[in-house]
Amino acid sequence: MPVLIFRSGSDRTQWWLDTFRERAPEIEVRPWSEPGDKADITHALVWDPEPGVLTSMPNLKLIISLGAGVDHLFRDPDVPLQVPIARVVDVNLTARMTEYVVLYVLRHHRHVPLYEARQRESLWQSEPQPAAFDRTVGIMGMGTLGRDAAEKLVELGFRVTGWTRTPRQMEGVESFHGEAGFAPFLASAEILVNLLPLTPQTVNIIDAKLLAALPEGAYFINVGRGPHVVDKDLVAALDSGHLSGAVLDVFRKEPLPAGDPFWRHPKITLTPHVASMSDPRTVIEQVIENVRRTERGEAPLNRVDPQQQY
Amino acid sequence: MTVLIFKPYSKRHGEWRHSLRRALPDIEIRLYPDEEGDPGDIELALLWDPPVGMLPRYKNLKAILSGAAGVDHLLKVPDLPAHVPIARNTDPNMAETISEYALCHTLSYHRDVRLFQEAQARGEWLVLTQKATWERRVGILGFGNLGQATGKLIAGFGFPVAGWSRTPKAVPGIESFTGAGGLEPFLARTDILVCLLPRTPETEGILDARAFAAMPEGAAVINAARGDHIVTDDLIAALDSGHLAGATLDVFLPEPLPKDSPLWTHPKVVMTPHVAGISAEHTSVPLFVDNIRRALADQPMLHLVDRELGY
Repeated sequence: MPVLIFRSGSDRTQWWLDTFRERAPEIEVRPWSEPGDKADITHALVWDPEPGVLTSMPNLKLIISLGAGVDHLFRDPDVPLQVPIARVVDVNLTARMTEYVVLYVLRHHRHVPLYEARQRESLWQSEPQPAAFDRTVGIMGMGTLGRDAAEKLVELGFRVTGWTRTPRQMEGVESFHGEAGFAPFLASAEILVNLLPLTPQTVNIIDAKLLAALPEGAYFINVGRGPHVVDKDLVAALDSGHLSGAVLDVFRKEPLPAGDPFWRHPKITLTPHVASMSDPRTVIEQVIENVRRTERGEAPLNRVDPQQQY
Repeated sequence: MTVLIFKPYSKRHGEWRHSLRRALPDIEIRLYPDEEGDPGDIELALLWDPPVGMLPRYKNLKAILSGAAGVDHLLKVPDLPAHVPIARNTDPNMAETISEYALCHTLSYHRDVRLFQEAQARGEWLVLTQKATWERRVGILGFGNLGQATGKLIAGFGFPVAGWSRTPKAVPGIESFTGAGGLEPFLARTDILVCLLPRTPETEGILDARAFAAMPEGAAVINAARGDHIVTDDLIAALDSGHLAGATLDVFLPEPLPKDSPLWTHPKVVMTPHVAGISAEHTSVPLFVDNIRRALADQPMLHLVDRELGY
């Protein structure tokens, strides 16, 4: 009987356990905090496991990343590379990310945070409203998530640009790539959306130099990963007024520690890594399928190449 | 030379007049009130919210063009000339900006923006389960030109959308409810309500205690139509009892909203100062020009207002 150990980045364990029990009663699911005999464990469905723990499970047949990014697994220097790694591919994750990006682009575009501040002062004052076609949204990272968000933003009438490491074209989106494409891409990005994967090349990519290349008053939305951003450079750009605001869903340390200056910064809106959460009801079937495949000795679907890390 | 009286309703009226002049070189455009001149000269009026006493003096008036999509500002005037045809402004920019606003605030409720703002203020890393869009039913109250554009945009994100209107409207993928009998079932299936009704005697106060009670627990209301549609005391009671989760209001009675209104400080109310729908000069002027040409050629204008129905 397969035994699956489960760890999510947040407090939704019961939701997952209940969903497993309903859909695949033949799989024994154990929460991370109660692993029992680690030699029993054949499968791991995890987000951000503490280093060393997976290695202590000698009979693992498959590690499944609970999320599209797999960088959280490779933070563990001892991640057992002989065990195949798969990821959850969730069309719903893409839709949720797009919802989040469109939501916070529109809130900035339609001056909602400004009107909320005026409401607190009982001030009836409207702001000139540019049309969507007069706003440029720049998306860094044009993979599945970036392209889906771009498609919706184009449909809403925004000017959308994309930046990628290697050339990638998309209809209706002005595309930039590589080092040479960076400056022109940044110069027009009034709203910058980070959707890059976290790799050794993209760590700390959002630093003082990058932020200075954005137009005055630019707005920043980070739905990539916390380590993409040099936190003190972001705060400095907000404090100097060069950036008008930032929405952050991801952080170097999650949960964001109490006392982190991000919590109380007046120009920062933060959400607790919720932009795109796996919903057990929509991804559990592929997890079950992968458990059954490995039980039958077949290769798992959506396997990750440990060399590429995405 | 034919004379059009233009009563400004936008801060950028200078640019509007410039565009009108360029498109209508054979028509003299006078600004109300300073350039009115002889009222007998005036054959056309483009305006919003005319004062009592303005229109009856124009004995040769052939057509009234509303600067706005709604015409309640005209129909409420007691001395509105009885036999002059009125055309609405069906500016597509109005539909685009209204639907953009409705989507923005629908997504704000769907993604619990206020709960996360409050959690940030408390310094709390808030864990919530997130509903999928297909579990959040959006209802568009008023399913004409603006309502249909909004419904289609929101349905594109996977929300089940329904529309309510006086007469049946067939829009693919959107459930249609009609008339007085359809209102309660429509409200009962609506988690996020977007009000885009025209203001008529029948729709005044339509969102009252009974309507709110018909909505499911935890529902939210977005009003981008007219302040008259909502009974404010009933709304506040429904928010305070916890039955409604929130309200986003762009329109009020009166406007600007008086400083002493309890809406300003209500923790479940988000307010914007009548900015949801924006008519743009580059998209409105061609429609005005078309209707002016029709009126001068004694042809019926497009998008004529039915005074009985009120829109």
